[in-house]
Amino acid sequence: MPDGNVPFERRVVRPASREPMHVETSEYVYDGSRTTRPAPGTTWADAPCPALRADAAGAVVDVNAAAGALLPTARPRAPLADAVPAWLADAHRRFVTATRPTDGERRFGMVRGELAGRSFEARPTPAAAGEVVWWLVDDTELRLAEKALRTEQERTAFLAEASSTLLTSLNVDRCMEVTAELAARHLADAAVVVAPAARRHYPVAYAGPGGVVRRRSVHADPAAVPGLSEALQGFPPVPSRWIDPSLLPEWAVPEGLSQPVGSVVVTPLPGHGVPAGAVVLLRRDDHRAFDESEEVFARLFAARAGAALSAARLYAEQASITDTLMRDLLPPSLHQVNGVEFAGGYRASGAAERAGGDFYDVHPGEGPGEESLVVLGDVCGKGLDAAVLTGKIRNTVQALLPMAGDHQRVLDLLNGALVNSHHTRFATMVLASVRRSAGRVRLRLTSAGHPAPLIVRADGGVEEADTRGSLVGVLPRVTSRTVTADLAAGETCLLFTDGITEARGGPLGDELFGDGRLKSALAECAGLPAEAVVERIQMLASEWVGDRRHDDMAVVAITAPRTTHLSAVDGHTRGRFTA
Amino acid sequence: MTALSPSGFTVTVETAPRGVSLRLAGELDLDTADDLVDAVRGQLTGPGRDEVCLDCADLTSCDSSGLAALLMARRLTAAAGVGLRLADRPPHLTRMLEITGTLEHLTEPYPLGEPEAGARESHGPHPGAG
Repeated sequence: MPDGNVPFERRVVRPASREPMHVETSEYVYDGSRTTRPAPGTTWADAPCPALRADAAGAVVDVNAAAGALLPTARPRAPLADAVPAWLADAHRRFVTATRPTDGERRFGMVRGELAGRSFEARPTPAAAGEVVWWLVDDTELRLAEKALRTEQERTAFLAEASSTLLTSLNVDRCMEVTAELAARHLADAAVVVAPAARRHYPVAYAGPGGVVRRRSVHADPAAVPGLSEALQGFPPVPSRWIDPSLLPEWAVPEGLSQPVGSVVVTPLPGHGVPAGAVVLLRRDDHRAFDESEEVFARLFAARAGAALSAARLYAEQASITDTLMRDLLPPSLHQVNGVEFAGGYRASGAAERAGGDFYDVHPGEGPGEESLVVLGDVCGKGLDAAVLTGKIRNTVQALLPMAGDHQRVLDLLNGALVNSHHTRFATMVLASVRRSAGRVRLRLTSAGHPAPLIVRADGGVEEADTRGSLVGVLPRVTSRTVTADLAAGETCLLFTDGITEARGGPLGDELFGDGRLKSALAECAGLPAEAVVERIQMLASEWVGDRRHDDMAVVAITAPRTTHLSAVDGHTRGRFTA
Repeated sequence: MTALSPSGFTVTVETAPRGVSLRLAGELDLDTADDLVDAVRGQLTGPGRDEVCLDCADLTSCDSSGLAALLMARRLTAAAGVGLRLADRPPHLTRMLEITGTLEHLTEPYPLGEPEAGARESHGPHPGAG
């Protein structure tokens, strides 16, 4: 106790500074000017919360000062109906007639309503003689805060939904539709998404009140919609712009709006350095116009939609470039040419960014006695760089076909065309010139830095062609050694890339398929048609890698047919067959 | 100096009697090829720099991109008038160089036709090098 001389008096503890007051021991703390008045808690007249006492018959008994200020007509004996709003008078009537819950539920009889433009919670407490005291608690700020919180929660949920929905698709059209639909559902009555022009036409997606989305290509001048041209340029960023609905051209208004357009905002969709488009938000004239917080929110949405749209657009452009380049790189389907069977197989690397290194081509000879040229190769590197180099090699070899009688010359010229001071990207390849001659297939084989072709004989023996040479594209000079080989009926020469021999897998998961396994697999292919040889080798290598990462794998089989047409000159006579 | 790459390929630079030795360890492939080229490019000049030696003993694998990096190393050293040597080649590397016909090119003792080649050969071990 600070002072033992005043044991009963309630003291005011007032710090010298304006720091918050604090309670010492059991003393009450209250306003200093009222120390002489009765202790608080013994009267309700000066309670800061408005309070009103009414009797069971529905008349005012008494009000405290705060209630008197709030309800000027609430005088003693005035009927409640005249003194307080109807919602409170009704609540009083219900409360005095109701049976109270036995558990004394604290919120029993509590009501909420408006009074003098603010929101109040009215809590009844029973008093003596059937009277009721109504305590009025102003909860306006709380209600506003709750409403703001709910709005924010809804907006956050919406933005999260928008992001996840938008990012599920890398398809530009789909992204536009989703943007329009989400905007119409959450931001406005209708929305129009305008993408940057493609060949002077603007792709447009409309979403109306019913959530129906339509797409159109509009040939129009975006300058007709104020702010749209600027928004479509994407840079510099422009703020959303309010426009007069009467200025909207017909194409910019979605169908299905039952009321005239009352308010319009044009918001740019910011992309990653590339303009992603703009969204036009429309509200009917019987609905509220956009307020500032909604406009800010629309911008947050636009940022997400713009990011998704521009990602989709960049992806589409890249995919289209890759498609264009890769279309020419697809291996040809092979078949019998001039009495020789050809079959090819290509399994692209699983990972997209690692694709594109292997290739093969067959350039058929012009007549039955002419050589066909088979090229199988492997370009160093992956992805677009490799695809571009592959294309260059295939085109150059095609142009060099007249020199195909001299493999070394073809390789020299190709090397000269490829050597480049910027990089050391190279290719390894096998050239095989193939001609049918006197019932056999005659091969000239040249390896340029590539694994040597394997030949499987009719008896199952497997030989490696004794050709060696240097890779093309880096060294000043290419050296090579060409060998010849003959295939009897049922024998096959296999060209392959190291994607086969270096395929990692097997029972332990990290073992190379290797030359040995390839040779034994091939030994079992004696006598099989070319197609079957390719299928078997591909199947074994695929089984070996399972679903592990692997490089491109390419194989070409050149086979002397087992049953063949010896006098196949015109293709009509049946001729003789060999076994 | 050891440059660590996420895939575990490392280049360790050490002084050597005739210049510098780069000890290569790990997998030389598409992801690490540039590390080798950058390391070699950074070692082309220096006092008594006659040779860049690539110590390949700990090279666990080398793919076509790795070979392209070796070819680039050869091109860079030749242009700078410095020799390139691939020391302690593991069998898989020698085999790859043989198949691709690059063994001779990459292991020629010194750029042919360089007049000062013989003169440099006569230098003794660089003092203080180890």
